[in-house]
Amino acid sequence: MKRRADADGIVKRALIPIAVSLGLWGGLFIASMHIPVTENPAVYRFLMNAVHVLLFSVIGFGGALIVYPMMYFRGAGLPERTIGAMVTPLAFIIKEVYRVCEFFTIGESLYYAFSSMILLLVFGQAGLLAVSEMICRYIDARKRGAHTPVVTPLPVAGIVFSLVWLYVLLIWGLGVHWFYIYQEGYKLLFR
Amino acid sequence: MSGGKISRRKVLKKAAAAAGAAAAGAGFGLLSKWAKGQIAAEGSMPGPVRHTGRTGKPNIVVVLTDDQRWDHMGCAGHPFLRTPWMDRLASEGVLFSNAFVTTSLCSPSRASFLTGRYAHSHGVKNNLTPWRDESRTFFEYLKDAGYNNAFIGKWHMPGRLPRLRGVDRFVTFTVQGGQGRYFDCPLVIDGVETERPGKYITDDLTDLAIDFIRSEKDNTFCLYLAHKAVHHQFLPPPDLDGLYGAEDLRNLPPEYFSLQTMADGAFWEGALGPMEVHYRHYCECLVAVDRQLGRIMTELENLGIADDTAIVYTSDNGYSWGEHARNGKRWATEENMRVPFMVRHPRGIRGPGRRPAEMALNIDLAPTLLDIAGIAVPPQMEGRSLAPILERRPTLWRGDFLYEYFKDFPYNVPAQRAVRTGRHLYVEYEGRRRPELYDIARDPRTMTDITATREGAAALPALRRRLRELSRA
Repeated sequence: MKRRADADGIVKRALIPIAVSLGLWGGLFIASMHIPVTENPAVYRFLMNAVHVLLFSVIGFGGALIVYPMMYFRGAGLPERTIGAMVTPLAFIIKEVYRVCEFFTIGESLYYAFSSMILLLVFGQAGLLAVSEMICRYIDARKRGAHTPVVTPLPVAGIVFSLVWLYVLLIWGLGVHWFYIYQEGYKLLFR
Repeated sequence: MSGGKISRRKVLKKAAAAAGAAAAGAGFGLLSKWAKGQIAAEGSMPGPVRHTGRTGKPNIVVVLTDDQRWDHMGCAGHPFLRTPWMDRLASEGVLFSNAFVTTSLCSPSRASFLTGRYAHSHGVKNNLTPWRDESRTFFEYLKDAGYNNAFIGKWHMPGRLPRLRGVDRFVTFTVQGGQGRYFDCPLVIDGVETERPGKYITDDLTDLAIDFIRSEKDNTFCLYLAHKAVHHQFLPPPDLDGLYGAEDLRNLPPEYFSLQTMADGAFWEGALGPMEVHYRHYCECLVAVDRQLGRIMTELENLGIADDTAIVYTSDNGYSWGEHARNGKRWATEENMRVPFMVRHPRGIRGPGRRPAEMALNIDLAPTLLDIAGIAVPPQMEGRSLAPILERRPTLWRGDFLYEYFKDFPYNVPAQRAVRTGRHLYVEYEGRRRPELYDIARDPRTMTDITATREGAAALPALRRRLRELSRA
């Protein structure tokens, strides 16, 4: 990691990495909407599945695995690279809230942003960023031959935090328990 | 019941006449059919069929599955699904080839089956609005007429479990919001929470249903068996897991793809992961249902009451497996609205094996059951008795029906109302989505919206008017 004095300008260290991730997400999203059903459904199916694997990957992991390391090695500080890594997931969430306002009121659409998959996306970033941070530290340490500590309490706490939420949101009753808690919240707020 | 005796006498007269023609070999066939109890159904006698159960009224068994599409039975032409017992019901009974639900969603549709009313009337509009205890189900009327009744299986309506009037045995489950689990699902048996370790739910519910049948074999009874299957998480019993693991899935629509289960809010349907895996399990779960249906039919035969029993087999709604690149059941499409609907009632139908094209609806179940039990259909029921069709009596039948879907947060489906005629499907949505019109006759997969075409423009005014009329009714 570059020292603060050697850090790249904001465009290079923050805006470009964010744009790369957002661009990938946008491109894949548009592609997913425009792949036609071909004469050979197998081709269509392969393309759709491939595009969606990449799309889900960029939404879920793009911030941590693309933006965060790019910003790390370009000298961005921890708050900056954390915010930068969250831009793509947050853009996706805003897109989702807009999409579902076709079906729901504004209040309901905002509440939709607290649904399990979206919470998992947000809370999962803590663990992913923590893993990314440790990988970056490891690479950095090897590159520079320095004895930078790789595993420290903060990233470990981030991983634990994410795993707890992974359990609560997705594993506990296969996600059904949280779903009904979420629905009770909906009833309290909107009915 | 005197009506029954008259009918039997008529049958005997016919059999005797046929015996006179035994030289031609016809008599033996007729007598044989009489012995099997099929003659009333195949005869051409005018007037209503008399139900000749031992108590004068037929026993009733309703088997309700969950999320079973109309075309997912061997007898409906499915390419690999083997359902010999469903097929037997179809061949020995009547399969309605145009059967629909008026709301393609568990809770509203279940309430419609029980009350004979639309969702906007019974009030269970989605999976969040509670059942109203004042709603009257067919059980109450049957009880008044001397039936002993059991509700066994999925209740799944919001709110606390009801005290269902007219039900003598009430077995259900409340875990997972009332959806139940395929394995080890605790049951609430007449109000008592009971652990069921090691049980597979389709088999377990059937065991309880058979217990009820045995206990009531000398009485007149109505059994309503509402399976959890084949709702997600689509878990087949171990011995069927993998049965269709190698089947070619060419029957799935060309626009499906494996990961659509997670795209655009589809994950709410609860089937994360490749669609093919879930689809194969769905079919395997159906085989499990079929096997248990066979146990019930066999039990009725062994007890000697099969011919005195009307069996209705249907589902609460259909399901889309990739059609329109969606999975789930809520949109007003053929895959979702259409359900299997079969009635086997040897003494109450004519022409077994028929597949009448008249539109049968979920709201028709309650009036039909009352009618075949000889009970006047109460005026608040909005469905119609299917008995005239079962008995092949001339009748003026409906040419369309209202489909309604109410917002069900957080599922990504707009509220919608539709009118489905024999030819068209016209859908209006709440929100910014524009109305759609499909020519079902030419485009059964509803792929091409014809609102902007000349044909569409010609059909639209009448369909809009009809939708308003049906919505007001």
